[in-house]
Amino acid sequence: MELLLAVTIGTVYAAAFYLLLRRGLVKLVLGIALLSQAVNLLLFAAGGLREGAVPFIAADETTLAATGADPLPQALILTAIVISFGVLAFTLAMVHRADQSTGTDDLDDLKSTDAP
Amino acid sequence: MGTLLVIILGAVFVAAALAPWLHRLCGDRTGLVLSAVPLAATGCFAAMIPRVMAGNAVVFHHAWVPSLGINLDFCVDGLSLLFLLLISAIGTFVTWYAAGYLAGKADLGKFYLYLFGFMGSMMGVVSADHLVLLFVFWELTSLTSYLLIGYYHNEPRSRAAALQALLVTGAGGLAMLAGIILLGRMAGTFEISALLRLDPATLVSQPGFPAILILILLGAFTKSAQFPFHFWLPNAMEAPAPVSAYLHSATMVKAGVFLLARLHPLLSASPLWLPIVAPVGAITMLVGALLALGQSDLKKILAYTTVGVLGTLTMLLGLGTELAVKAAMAYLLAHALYKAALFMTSGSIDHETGTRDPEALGGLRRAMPFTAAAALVAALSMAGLPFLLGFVSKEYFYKALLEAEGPGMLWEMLGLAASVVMVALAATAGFKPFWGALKPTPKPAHEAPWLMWLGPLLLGAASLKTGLFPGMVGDCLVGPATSAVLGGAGESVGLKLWHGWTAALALSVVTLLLGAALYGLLPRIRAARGICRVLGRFGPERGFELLLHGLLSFARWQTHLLQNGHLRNYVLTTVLFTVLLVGWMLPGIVSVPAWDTMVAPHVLTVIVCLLIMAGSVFACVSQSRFNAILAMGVVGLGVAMIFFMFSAPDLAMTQVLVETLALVLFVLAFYRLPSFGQYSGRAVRWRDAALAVVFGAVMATVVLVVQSSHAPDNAVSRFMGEHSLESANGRNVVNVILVDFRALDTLGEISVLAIAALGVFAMLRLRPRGARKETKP
Repeated sequence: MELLLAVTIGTVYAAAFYLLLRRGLVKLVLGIALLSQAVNLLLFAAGGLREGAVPFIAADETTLAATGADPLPQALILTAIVISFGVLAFTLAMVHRADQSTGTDDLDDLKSTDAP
Repeated sequence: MGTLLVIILGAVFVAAALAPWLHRLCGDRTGLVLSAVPLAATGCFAAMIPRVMAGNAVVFHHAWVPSLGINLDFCVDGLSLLFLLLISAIGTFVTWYAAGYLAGKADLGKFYLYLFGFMGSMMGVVSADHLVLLFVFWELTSLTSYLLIGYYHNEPRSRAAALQALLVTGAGGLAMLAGIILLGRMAGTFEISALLRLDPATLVSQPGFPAILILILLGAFTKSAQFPFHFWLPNAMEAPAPVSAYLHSATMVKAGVFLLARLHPLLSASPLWLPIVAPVGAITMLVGALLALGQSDLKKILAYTTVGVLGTLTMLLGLGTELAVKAAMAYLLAHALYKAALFMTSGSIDHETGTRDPEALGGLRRAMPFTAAAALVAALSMAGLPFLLGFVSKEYFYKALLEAEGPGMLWEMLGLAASVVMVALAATAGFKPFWGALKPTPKPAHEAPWLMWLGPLLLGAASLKTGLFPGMVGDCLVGPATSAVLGGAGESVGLKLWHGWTAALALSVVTLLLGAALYGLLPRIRAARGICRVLGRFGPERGFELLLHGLLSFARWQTHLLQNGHLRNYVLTTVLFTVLLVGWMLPGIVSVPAWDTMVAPHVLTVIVCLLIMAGSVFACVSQSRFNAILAMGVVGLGVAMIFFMFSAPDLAMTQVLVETLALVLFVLAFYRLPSFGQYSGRAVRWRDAALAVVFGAVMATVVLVVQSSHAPDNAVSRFMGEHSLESANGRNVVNVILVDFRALDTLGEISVLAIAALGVFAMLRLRPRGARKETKP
């Protein structure tokens, strides 16, 4: 299982990196979105994987069972998911605006500060 | 009295800080008001003379950075006092002069800020008793000098000269810093007076000492414009005349000479001292004198003769005998008095007539009587005529050279040659413009305001008084300074006007005769000044320019290489180095879990993982935006499934919500997004794919490592698990963490979202003014 997950995360990283290296602006946005998925998965895997052990305190207990999944990485990832959504929305709006202002999505045409 | 010294230093810096404000208040009278500070300082320093004459230095000690052994130590001995008096007295005259010379300039307040900043720094240099403190003030003089040379900052030449001076002296300063640190570590103290009390022989015999000597000499030589670093000084004449008079003849350029004198007891013990310092000084003396002959600008003539004099002083300190040091101190005083006056009078000529070409000037004595008188006295002192301090110092100069050991009559001949040139140029600068027939000038000549001739006249009077009664100045200033340079060894014998019929006197007479002859030949020599230009083309200045040009080209090249403006190249570089470094480290720490210890994945997990991988790869290769966005959705939902299967229901819910929203956003933006273009070639795509696979493999290994090294029990999580119900009354620990334990983080997160939303709104709704007009035809 560890190996399977490692290969999966590696593949998402590879795809994200490939997309980040493209010249088209939209592909770059896709790469950023994929990269945040890969990072979230990496954090999740680093926190330790447990099946059927949700970090809830059982009704008859007062503390979290030691066998429960670690709640801390989950809280961090939750924040990360929401933030990456904000980043994605911002980036999409920016790409849209850049396309409107310059009429190109080729990053090589967007090198200078002057509009072509 | 030590406290008084620090108060004076503080007062000068406070005056600097107040100058711009004062200028707004008092206008052109600012200079007069401000000059009260250096005037009072002169009085205070004069009051220190009896104490210093008695051999008691004025000291002040205050711990600054005790952990590093850096203190605010000040010590005023004979050498410091000589410099302090020059700085404060000439500083007073220069402040007056600037008030006249720069009257009406709007940024005069700024000028006084720089000038007084320099004055305070220079006083700090000469009174600091701690090498690090000395360095701090030393660099401050370089910086203020930069600002003052570049005062006419609208002139490109002025800016270039300022930058050149800063780079040359700054580079020397850095070398000096290295030398200081090495010296302090070797000796175990940075306190100058303690250093000079050590036995020089043991220090000098250490293996690292030659490096220290050369580094410190580099600092001194660049500051004092010694060959081959002399070129910045004549270029610095782009500065206004008061700056040239103050910084570039009387005070700052002598800081290097001061450093040589200050550390003389220690450094001169090295066997390298004489063979380095004396020849460099002698070469500078000759180069300065020869190049001065070819100039046709009063200020440049004075600048090159200043270079020559700085060489003379360095040469004398290099020879290092008691007589040579005394000659150096007398010469230094005499030069400061006459050269500051000459710079000011030549500035007045420029100011009132509009030209500085000595050929175009003549007969100004009727129009400018006071300036003429001041210039004449100063020139006579420069030429070394009797009854002026210049004569006395030249006598001692010759005596020191006659006494010095050297091949044949070498030193005497070199000194004679330079002195002869000085006589001729003194006549050019102080005599020629004022005597003979009146020549028409660009502006009709008239006398300068009194502010501009009072200082030079007082300096001339000082030359005359000290020349007539050299015994007094010898006892008060030159003697104590000499004994300070010699480490207290020399007797503070005063100066004498008359030595009897000696060889030195004969040399003086020969100098005057030859100088007068040379003055007659000057027009013919100037006609051949093309030679100077040719020399200039191959001189050290050319080397400096080439070096600077090469440095800038290199900087451009490597900036272009590293910051090429392609985002993907930055990503590539970053990832490539990450892969290399992590790949380098991994084999050492990785312990891949054995195959049989791994838990076999559930079939559902396998399906979800395959979907994620397929979605990722498809998003890369798809030619259609719509398909790519769908593939992204598949990946996102797959990730949500992973969260769900491994005990993270909150994450799964959030992920599903966010993915849905993201998909909606993508689809909304879909028709507005530019369509996919195929920009990269096939080879680039394959290269990127290969790199991506390598990167993915490294990351997969990282995942394996972190999974196997996860510590199951960490204190923070345990604390939160134990206190979640008790303190926050919540059973869902993840939620409690978000809204309770780490509530501020969540607030920050919400703020980020709000800012992102504002940004999106601004970009979608607001248009630049020009664009709005275009949409409304």
